[in-house]
Amino acid sequence: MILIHANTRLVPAFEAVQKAVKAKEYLSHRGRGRNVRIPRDTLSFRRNDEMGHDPMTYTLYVFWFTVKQAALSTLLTIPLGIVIARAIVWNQGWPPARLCLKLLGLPLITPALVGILGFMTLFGGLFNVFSLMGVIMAHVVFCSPFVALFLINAWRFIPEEHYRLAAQLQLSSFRIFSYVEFPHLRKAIVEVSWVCFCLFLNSFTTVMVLGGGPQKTTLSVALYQSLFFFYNPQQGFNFAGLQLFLTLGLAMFTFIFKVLPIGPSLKTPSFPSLRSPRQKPIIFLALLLILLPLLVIIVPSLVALPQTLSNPLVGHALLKSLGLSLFLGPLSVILTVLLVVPRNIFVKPVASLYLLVPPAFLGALLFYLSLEMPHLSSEVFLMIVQLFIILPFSFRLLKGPYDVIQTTYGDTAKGLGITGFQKFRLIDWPLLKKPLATTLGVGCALSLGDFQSLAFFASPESPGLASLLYQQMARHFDESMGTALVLLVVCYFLYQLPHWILKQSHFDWKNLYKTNRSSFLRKQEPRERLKKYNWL
Amino acid sequence: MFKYLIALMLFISMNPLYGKEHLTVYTHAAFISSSYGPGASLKEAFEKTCDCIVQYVILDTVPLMMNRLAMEGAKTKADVILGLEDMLLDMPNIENLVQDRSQIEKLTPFASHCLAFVYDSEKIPNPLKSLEELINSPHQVILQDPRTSITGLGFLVWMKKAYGDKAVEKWQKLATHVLTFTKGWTEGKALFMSGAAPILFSYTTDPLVCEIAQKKTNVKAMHFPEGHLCSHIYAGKMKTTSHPQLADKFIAFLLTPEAQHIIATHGWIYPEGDVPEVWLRAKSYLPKPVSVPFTAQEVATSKEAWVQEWLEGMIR
Repeated sequence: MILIHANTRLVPAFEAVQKAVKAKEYLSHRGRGRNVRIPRDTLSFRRNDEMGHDPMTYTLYVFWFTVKQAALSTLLTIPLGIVIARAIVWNQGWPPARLCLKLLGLPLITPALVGILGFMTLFGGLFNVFSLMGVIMAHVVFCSPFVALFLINAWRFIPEEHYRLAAQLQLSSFRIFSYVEFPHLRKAIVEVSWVCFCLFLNSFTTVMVLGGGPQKTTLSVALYQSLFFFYNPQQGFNFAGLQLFLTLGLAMFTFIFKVLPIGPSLKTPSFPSLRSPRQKPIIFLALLLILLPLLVIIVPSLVALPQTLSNPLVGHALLKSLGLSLFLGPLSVILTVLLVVPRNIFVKPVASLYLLVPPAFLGALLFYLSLEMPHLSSEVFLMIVQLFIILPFSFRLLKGPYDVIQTTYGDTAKGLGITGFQKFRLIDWPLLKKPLATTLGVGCALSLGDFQSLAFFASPESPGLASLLYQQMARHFDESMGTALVLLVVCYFLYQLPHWILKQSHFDWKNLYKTNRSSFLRKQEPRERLKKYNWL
Repeated sequence: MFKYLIALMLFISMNPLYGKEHLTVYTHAAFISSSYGPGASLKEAFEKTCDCIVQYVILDTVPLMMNRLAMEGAKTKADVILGLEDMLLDMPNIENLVQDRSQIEKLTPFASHCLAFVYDSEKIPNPLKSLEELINSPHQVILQDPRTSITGLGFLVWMKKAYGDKAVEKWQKLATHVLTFTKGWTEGKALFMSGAAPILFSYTTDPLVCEIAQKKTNVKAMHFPEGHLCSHIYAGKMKTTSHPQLADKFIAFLLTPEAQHIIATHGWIYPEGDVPEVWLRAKSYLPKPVSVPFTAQEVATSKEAWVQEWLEGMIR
């Protein structure tokens, strides 16, 4: 019926063919959809109204927007990260730079929603944060410290002699960067750009809050919304398909160009002694970038705190989230150890899967699975998604230190016949307890602060703390401040707790991503222990 | 020993039966929240008249509530649903109320409202006079997503009724100055009150909240002489309810003068009977305007296509 209509109505033949094709597609889409309805009342609105509106157009638009925002965010984040990293390296003895270095890891364990709340409070008056610019700015603010952290670790492997030579040749600061530093950093920059691009492609929480409308949405969010808001599985299927296509494309790219992060090399890192007062303002800028979004919410949140604490919903949500994270933190550590110990070539790709497969896709898959298995509680699926989010991070944190220990003491221990529990007690535990504590802390903090998994598997009656915060952010801005503070404090507390328990109150932000191997090599504890037992 | 255990478990499992009767009411966030909505006051007033407890299950928006009902099917715990509007009356799960697949036994209108743009008169001294003027104006507007919000769906119907085939072009024009499409009306309202944009798509009675309850006079509604989109608000009794008498009693209670007064002074929507005195004295009170005509049937038939058209207007 529609086909005939299209052909007779339009005068130019070319357009007629185009429309007919579209109408055909449209029909087939409708046919497969859930709401197959035969129009009953077509008096006031002619049927041809509905033609030409192909659901695929919108799906492709979302795909384009996803790639666009990820590319633009990466292009802005990386230079800022390089500038911050360079300023810190060139002023490393300076106390503000040391402080800045310590704080670079902070955005990683800050719950995304709290960061976004701060971002909205900070920039809400300056420009429309509910826009492409808002999304990109939020990405830049939260990821450039991570980029800087990553690059500083790469910076350590630039030989000091190069700097001495450059100083003798009286090269300008820019020339030192382009001739000395950049060639060494190129690989690390490509790697971190890649990681950032993948993270931005799968960006969920930021786009969920700041997206604002159908024209500013990414595949992950669109997939979530079509399942949970619009009740349109057909469109969700389209988005999931495109997401899968994107994922496979990325995986192929990764495989061909081998751009996934490499492990630390065995070269001893050094930190050249450089001075550059001109770059000092950048350090203050970086400090502001990290701290301001958190500081702006502290005063209003303290005002709202009494109201928050008297709200029974917050207590319930906190208990639920706390229970979950205290269970998942240790579980993630155990699973990470199981992944780290075997020397298997398949382990690393599996642990890096997070960057490629978006949790939204996994969430959607598990959501369908949960509909098939109604007797399983939604908490089970919630835990699977959260583990999937935590594991890649904890894997990175533990893999480096473990490999260092294996290469340093592995053969000796084998030669002495120390295996199994003895090896764990004498060698692994003393050297690994700090990375293990960090892993546990990060696991707990990530589990508590994650919103994405809760969005998929928390019922509206019993929200987790993060999903409660999301609700409040949209409806009662003032109340949300108090909840944000509770979430932030509990998150940092959970991160620190394992360190306190191990009486290692000094923790290394530097080691959050790559391992500074010298700090492990410097420690002679196991040797001394071995001596004590008269084995050396 | 085992016998006692069974007895104990039986006792525990039967315990709720000795307690008060529970009425589970599904509703949406705008109806009950910590700062507005008649929900809490209605519960309090109704519980005085019966030996029962009203238990609200608060879903984010009305369409999400309907989705949830459809998903739960016959297993739903809901006895009564509140907040359904004319635009959604023809959804598959309530169609005509007579078919077998309808989940709802009876619908009772207990209030009504009319959609309107409200504005901050400090930022916009001269209100816009028509929908056309608003679409062509440079002011930032907060709208609701028609897929998740019944207010947003109302605007979609309004646009389509006003412009028919030309709606796509109008959406395109509007897209240049829409701040954001929020998930529901409550989110939009919070954003508007924080000063993010000077215009919000809301209700004709919305300024009354600010004037009477919050003593602010800068929020006003734009009156468009060509008509607004108005709708009844319904209470629905579920077919699967296990407390049919209590549900009937609750719905009848909603129509009593006491409940109607609560609805008008806490929910800020037009009551079924006379409007309260306070409203008449308020400067920003707008009597019910002329309504744009539409049928639930045509919304149900064309909604999907209209949403698609809206999407295309937005991204073009």
